[in-house]
Amino acid sequence: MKTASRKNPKKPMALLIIFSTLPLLLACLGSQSLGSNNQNGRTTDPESIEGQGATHSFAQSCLGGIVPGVTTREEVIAALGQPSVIENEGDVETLYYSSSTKGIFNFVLVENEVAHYTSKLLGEEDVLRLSGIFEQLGEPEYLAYSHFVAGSRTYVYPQHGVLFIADPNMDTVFIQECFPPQDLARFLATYGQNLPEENPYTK
Amino acid sequence: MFKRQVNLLKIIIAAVFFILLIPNLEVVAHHAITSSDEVIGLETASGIQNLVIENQDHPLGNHGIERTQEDLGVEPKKFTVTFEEQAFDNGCLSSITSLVFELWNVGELGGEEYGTVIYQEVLFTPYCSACREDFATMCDSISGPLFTTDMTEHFNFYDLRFTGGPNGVIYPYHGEDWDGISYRYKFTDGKKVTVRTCENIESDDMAFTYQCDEPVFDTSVFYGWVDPDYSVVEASESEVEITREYINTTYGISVWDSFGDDQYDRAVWSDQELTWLNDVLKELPPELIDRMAVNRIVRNSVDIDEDGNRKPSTFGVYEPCDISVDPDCDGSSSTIRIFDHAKTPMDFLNDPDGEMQFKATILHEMVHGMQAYKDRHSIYVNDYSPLQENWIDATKKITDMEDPGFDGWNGWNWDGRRWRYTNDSSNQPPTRYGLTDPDEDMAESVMMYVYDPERLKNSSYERYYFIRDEVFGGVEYEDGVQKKP
Repeated sequence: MKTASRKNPKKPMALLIIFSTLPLLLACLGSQSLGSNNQNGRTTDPESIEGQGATHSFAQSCLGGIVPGVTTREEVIAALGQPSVIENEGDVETLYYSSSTKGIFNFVLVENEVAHYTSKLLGEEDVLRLSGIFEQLGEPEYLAYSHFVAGSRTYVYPQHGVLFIADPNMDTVFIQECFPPQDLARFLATYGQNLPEENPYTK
Repeated sequence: MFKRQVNLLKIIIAAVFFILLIPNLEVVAHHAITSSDEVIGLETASGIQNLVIENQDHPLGNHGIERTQEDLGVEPKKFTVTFEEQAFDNGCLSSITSLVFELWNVGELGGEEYGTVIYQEVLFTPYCSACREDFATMCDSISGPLFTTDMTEHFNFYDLRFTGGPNGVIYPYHGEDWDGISYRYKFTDGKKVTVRTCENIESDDMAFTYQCDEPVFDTSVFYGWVDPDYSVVEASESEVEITREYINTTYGISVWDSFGDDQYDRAVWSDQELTWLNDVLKELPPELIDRMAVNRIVRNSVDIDEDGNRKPSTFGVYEPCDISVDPDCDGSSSTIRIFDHAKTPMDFLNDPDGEMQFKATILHEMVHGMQAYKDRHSIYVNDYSPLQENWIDATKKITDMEDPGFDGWNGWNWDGRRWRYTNDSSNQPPTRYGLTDPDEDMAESVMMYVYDPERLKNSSYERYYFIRDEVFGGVEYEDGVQKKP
């Protein structure tokens, strides 16, 4: 935290002296393209993804290279390590992993020992542009708000098995989530049932 | 007396250092803007179409600024100020520091900046006959001015900022490493400012304390000027009319009525609201305003979402990248919109006309500008700023990183669908809305820090102390006004 010292003057004279000695003091003293994958530990042959109808490049860039509906829990642990937190709700187990940003978890939903949903925070060096997604996948089949940050929206491509939380003005994607390709009705009845339809940021 | 001599000696030694380290000093006359600047198409008449300034050496970077008059909103104009300080005339040595600032109000709608200090002349004139023995040798070896030099190059250490307009404020930034030095001068175009002799009564290697026998001769030239103690030199209420221009020139933030987006109903800042806006801004430490990515504050009637739906219960919004102003937003075009609803009392007791709510809403949105601020030309996009990460840490329940629970549900966590806040009842956001996410928590907490600090303390001492120490540099508030030390 930068604060102004109360001892310092408000006169250029002092600065002059500082500047005059500064040379001595000094003497002493991509963007990630769509489909790229910077995650290690991909565990499943991408060919099998295409077989499921998912868009090849996006499926490759799911958290840890996990292929929803295919990758096993054991393979998830092998790829990502032990989770920070595990929660169980009915038959669904959620494995939470710390991301590059404090407080934000990546996670994997596991059911019957198979991962079927992943969520990954994209960092400053892991940039994905919303416009690039539009170019490749077209308009989303479903658009919702998001609780993630003010101004963010959720862009859902159920047929491709992906959704993105992004800021349309900033053309920036914050989070990418992957699930088995399915129709919209099924998505809204399951994974998408709690997506906010109203903007939660009202102040 | 001896101490004064030692201080004087330090100054002379510094001057000698200066001479030794910068061997190519020349006595120079007043420069054109700089040799590497190219000004194209500049006219002061109303027929101006385009202004291009290419300045390869400017500390803002090697980029040109191109704006049409329509973009500018003001007529591009060169703005010249001279500054002269007469100091250290103690009967042994006198000095005159002279600065010439040349600035162009070519920024966006006059609210941004282009400026450079182009010349500095410093004269040290020893009066050898009056010198004490301590300085006799040095005096004997020098006759006439100790040195006169162009300091232009060295003032590039400043990241100079000019708010634009005929009463623009010059913010001579220093680098982040220059902790503890902050200057802000407000000059009038064409004004020559002379500062009365001050006596250097104490100094060490990097800090000086001056004691002035007399005030500067004309305090009006320093209206809006902030000294390192954060005390603002102000005209009396009767002397200052709070206008859009005043806000712009004093704080570097443009104030617009419903701007250019047909989606928004028209609204106009009232005189009362401008006064409230000024009340908010004048109480913030200038260093804090400097760390807020806020280019403009717009008064709109009602929020309208991306789908065209009216949102009459929205108080205000912060848009880090306002595409209605800059469709190719590069991340430095930030807008706050304040809606009619901001005057609806909600968060404060004894606020019948919504004055405090209105002010608090402005501050709340400005905090979002601070959260987004990365540097003067960029904002955080994907990642939280270090400040926000520290905020998340400060609001954790478990603060020991070795504790197994540290990386679990601990304070703020994003669970993939929404934010969860896990902590004791004695460490909670001060408002229900603050539970939305860490950003809103901080915005609401800062709002309460200024306008209802007791409520913030009651909800979370951790928040209060973090904001006091990490945001406000120790400045505390009572009813929206800085507490006097």
